[in-house]
Amino acid sequence: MSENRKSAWGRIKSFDYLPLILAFAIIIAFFGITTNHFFALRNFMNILLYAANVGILSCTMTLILVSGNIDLSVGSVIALGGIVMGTCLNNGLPTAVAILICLLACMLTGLYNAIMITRVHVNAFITTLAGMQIFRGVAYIITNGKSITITNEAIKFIGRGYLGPIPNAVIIMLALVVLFTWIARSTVFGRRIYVIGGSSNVAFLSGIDVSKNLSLLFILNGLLCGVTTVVYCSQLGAAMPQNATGMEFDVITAVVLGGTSMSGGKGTIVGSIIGALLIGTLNNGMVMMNIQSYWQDVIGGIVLVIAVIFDIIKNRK
Amino acid sequence: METKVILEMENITKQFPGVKALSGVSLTVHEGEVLALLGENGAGKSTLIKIIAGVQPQDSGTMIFDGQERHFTDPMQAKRAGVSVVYQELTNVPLLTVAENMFINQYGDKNRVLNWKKMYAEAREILQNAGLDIDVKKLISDCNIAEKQQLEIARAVYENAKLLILDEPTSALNTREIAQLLDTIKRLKAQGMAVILITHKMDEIFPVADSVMVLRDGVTVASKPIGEATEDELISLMVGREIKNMYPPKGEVGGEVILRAEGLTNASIRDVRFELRRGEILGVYGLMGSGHLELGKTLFGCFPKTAGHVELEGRELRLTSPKACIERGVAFLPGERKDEGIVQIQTVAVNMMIPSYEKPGSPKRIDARRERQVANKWIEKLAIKTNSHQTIVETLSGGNQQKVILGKWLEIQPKVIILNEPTRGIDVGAKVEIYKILKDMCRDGVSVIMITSEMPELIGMADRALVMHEGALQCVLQRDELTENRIMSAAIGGTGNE
Repeated sequence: MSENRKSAWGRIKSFDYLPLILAFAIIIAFFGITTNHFFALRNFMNILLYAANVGILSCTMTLILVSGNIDLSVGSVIALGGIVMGTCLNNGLPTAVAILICLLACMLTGLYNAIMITRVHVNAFITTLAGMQIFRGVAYIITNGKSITITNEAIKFIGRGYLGPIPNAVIIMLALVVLFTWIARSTVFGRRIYVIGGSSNVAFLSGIDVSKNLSLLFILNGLLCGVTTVVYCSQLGAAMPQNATGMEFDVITAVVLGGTSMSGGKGTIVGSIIGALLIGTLNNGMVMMNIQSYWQDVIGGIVLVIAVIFDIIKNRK
Repeated sequence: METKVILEMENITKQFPGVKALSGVSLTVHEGEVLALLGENGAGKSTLIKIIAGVQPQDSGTMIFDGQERHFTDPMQAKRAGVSVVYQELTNVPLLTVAENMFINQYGDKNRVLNWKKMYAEAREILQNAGLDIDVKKLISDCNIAEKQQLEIARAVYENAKLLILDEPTSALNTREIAQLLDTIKRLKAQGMAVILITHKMDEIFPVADSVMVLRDGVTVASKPIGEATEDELISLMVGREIKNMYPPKGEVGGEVILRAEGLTNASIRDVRFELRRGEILGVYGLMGSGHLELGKTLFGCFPKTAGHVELEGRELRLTSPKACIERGVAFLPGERKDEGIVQIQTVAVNMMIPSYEKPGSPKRIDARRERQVANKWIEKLAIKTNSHQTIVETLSGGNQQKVILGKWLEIQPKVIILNEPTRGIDVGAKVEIYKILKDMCRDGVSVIMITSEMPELIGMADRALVMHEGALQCVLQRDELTENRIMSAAIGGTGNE
């Protein structure tokens, strides 16, 4: 079985990511042949810009799945965070303050999820399923269902601007990937998350404060939802209550595609990022091929099922 | 004897990648015969059982079951033919009732509708025939291990098993329950059932078995009537070398009192009071439900106390969480190795480092080099058989996993270590090694609280022993008072004076 201490390069060498990369290559080749402008540079930028959102979220989502939990509320948190930020801007608050309040609001949702899971002992699936309804519902209530146009130039620059040839959003994602890979591999906090996911009983009986560490993880996840909110609203130019609907689906699919086990204890952020790129490419290619959006949903679902089947086969070995 | 042969296996061979699990093993079991199957972990017992039960096929060799050459390809096939296996991990469904579990394989077989009244009545009858006094409407999750086991055996009988295989049935039972199980085996034997009994415990073999077979490294090293075997001989055949002294000699314990408990009380124990000296092994014995297991977990901060006081080195030990206890130098080796002791999917090194990072002042960053050094230090000191510190713990044998857990606790340099069934499910050879490690620890000044349900182990290792009964401390036995009779007398509520 693969083990967690291997370096990213070591994993590539030992072909841990090979099936994923192969699938990726097939998808690229397929869309390249069947569509006209798939290989255009601008199209690759589009893919990267979408994948950046999923990629940022999958940093903490990977660790949440590794810890044996799940968070279905991320899409709704982004919607709520956007509305909070938009409302702040409309009320004349400085940009930095609006962003800060947005990040704090998102972290607060993480704290709420954490309290429900670790103190009230509602399982993560139900807690965040309820959170998914609650947070989006609150977003609708605040604006009475209306959207808020984001005209702020600074915020627009965050998600749409470029540093040289590279979009800012991609730089933010890469920075977070490096940071969270380091957290996962080289800090005691990261190690504890893997141990908790391997067996929370063993973790508790070895002196790990399971509640505290899981809470910290869910709050960090809230923070990255906040970061995604800013990027997302910036790209869209608007904060809407229906923002990021179904985003949790893409993120969880990316993480599972990347080899993170649904049963906890195993997984890498680098794998999830490859998963995110794959999802981004797939979604983009289907749009390019003018595939009906209903079919896109079906295909997205099938990809998740295939990823889970791979996880099961791997665990059986 | 003109009894019918139930199972005859000839020249069975099974190869796994890199290991020859069985080579040329033959065995015969007759109607009404109890065959004791002995061997260390990894000797090939489980593989042999899996072949009989249709879990995996043999590479070569023949198996004749009930007069017919068989080659079971799945467990249901074997079961229908009359092979019933009671595994260590019991397979009852916890949230169903006793009666439902009894008929789990034939739910509504005929008209696909459940007749509850009939089901309960039949279940009651089956249990009565088996001499069991268990309410058929009780949930499996409310039954203790002994009851669950008896239920599985009763189910096997009900399903017309011809061969019953018991895989280390007594490893989680107390003395009284073991006696009951041995009685059940004798009764089944009288009814003509063929039984294969897998066990490590010598004292169980001689009263019930008719013949004995010893496996070592996949080869039959002995197969004979029980009357021709002796205990010492079987042990040395199993380990492949002679074991003269299971237990290291007891030294003098003159150290100062390091831990003192007064009036310790909570939901499962009441008014427990004892002292532990430096370098001492304090045994704890009790029957199921006596609170002896809970005493260990209470002292490690798993269950809150409602009254009482514990002092470690003269300062109060706050029993608020395992973390708080670890910080003061208390370690705990849990009874359920796979659920509580090790992270199965992690490496030896990761497992060994877990508690070390929870000590106050420990680094917040992972240092791979230090982890390797620590792991290799304990791999060497404790003679852990593993390919490297990067090996996934799941692949190690039970004894080596237990040593990994000991290593992880020794690394925090504990003052007191609480052991819950330290050698459960471990083969004799590894047991002897673990006893030696424990004794060495004591010599280095570590104090040990050893909770065990194995009386020979208690008598062999403990300097003193607490005997618990119904949540209270029944008596404290000094070293020269440690006899089976006195321990048992105290455990069932007597004075411990024989």
